[in-house]
Amino acid sequence: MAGRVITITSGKGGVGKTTTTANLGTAIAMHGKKVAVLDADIGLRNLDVVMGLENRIVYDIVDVVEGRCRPRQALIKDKRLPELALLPAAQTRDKNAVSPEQMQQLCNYLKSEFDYVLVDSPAGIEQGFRNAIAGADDVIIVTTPEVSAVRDADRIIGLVEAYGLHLPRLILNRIKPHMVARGDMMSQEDVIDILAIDLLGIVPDDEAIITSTNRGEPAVYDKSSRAGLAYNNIARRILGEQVPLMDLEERPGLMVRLGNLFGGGSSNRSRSRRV
Amino acid sequence: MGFWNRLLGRERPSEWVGTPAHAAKQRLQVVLVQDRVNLPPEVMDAIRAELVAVISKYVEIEPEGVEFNLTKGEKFDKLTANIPVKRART
Ligand SMILES: Nc1ncnc2c1ncn2[C@@H]1O[C@H](COP(=O)(O)OP(=O)(O)O)[C@@H](O)[C@H]1O
Ligand SMILES: [Mg+2]
Repeated sequence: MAGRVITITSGKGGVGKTTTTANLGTAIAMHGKKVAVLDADIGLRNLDVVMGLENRIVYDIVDVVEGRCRPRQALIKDKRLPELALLPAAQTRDKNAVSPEQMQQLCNYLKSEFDYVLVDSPAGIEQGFRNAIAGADDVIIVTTPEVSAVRDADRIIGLVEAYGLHLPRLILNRIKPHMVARGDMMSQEDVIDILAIDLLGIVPDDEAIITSTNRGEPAVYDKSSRAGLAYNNIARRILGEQVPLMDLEERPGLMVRLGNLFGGGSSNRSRSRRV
Repeated sequence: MGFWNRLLGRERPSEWVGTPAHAAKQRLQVVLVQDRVNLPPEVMDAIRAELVAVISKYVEIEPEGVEFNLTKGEKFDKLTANIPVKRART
């Protein structure tokens, strides 16, 4: 099997990398693909609890690279989806316990066993990040529509390009449509304008993310969750389907729009290019 | 396209200028110009000093008035130098 390794990274912490990895991994497995999710955030293990698998861990990624067990022994089968497995991070070691070469080898092995390997990257631009992208075929950048998160995302995009990987795609997380409509939050167009990469999807800010994380069941199981639906759409795009962007804009009423149409000025939005 | 974009709410009314979202976007555009080119201040200073030295060979300039900056351009970001000239050297 020749699977694809997709690394989910961001630069800034707390923007939704782990949430995204858990939900996309689950959603892709729901579509019948074999998926491994790999927690590369060594020392700050989290993907296991988000997926509700924390009680089943025996071995971790450092045990694998140091040869104390075979990768197969460290892979934890998901509770519900037999096609889904987690390779947990080590909790008591630091990022330097694994080298980029070891990571690449591990990814190559996982690629031979799974259709998709999703790597949950730690925050930052140091060794942990280098490990996370060492075996990547594709990179997904997660950001929120905030100045500091977008700035860090831009930095990461530059680093990914410098590694010779093709341009990453973007997931814009925690969009609040009513704030965007009021002009209090940047829209997906604004962020895309600035980062100049392709948009893979937008995920609304959604309390269901918190309740589902509390239960250890990713939001894609919750059919009433907007974020869950958004992640499912993104999973389908990864699988090659054409899925239109979710309509998150709470559009102003038609009269307001017609007013803008005839009276509103246009903003000056010159496209940014990276140098 | 402008018509449809506006109808679909994709193009901003003029009131958008001055909103927090607009401020965020503008501030990002400024900060990213510097982040992307990633020229450390020492390098900027060195380029400025060499530029001034080269031009001073041919024209007498006003060193105090020299402006040398990285700014945002349409297609590429630009290094711009503004160098006040007193007279040509003879
Ligand atoms: N779309 C969302 N809506 C609401 N809360 C979210 C959303 N995405 C992430 N969160 C919350 O934000 C926090 C950080 O998310 P996490 O995935 O751990 O980020 P990271 O892995 O990038 O550090 C978590 O508490 C998570 O529940
Ligand atoms: Mg995380």
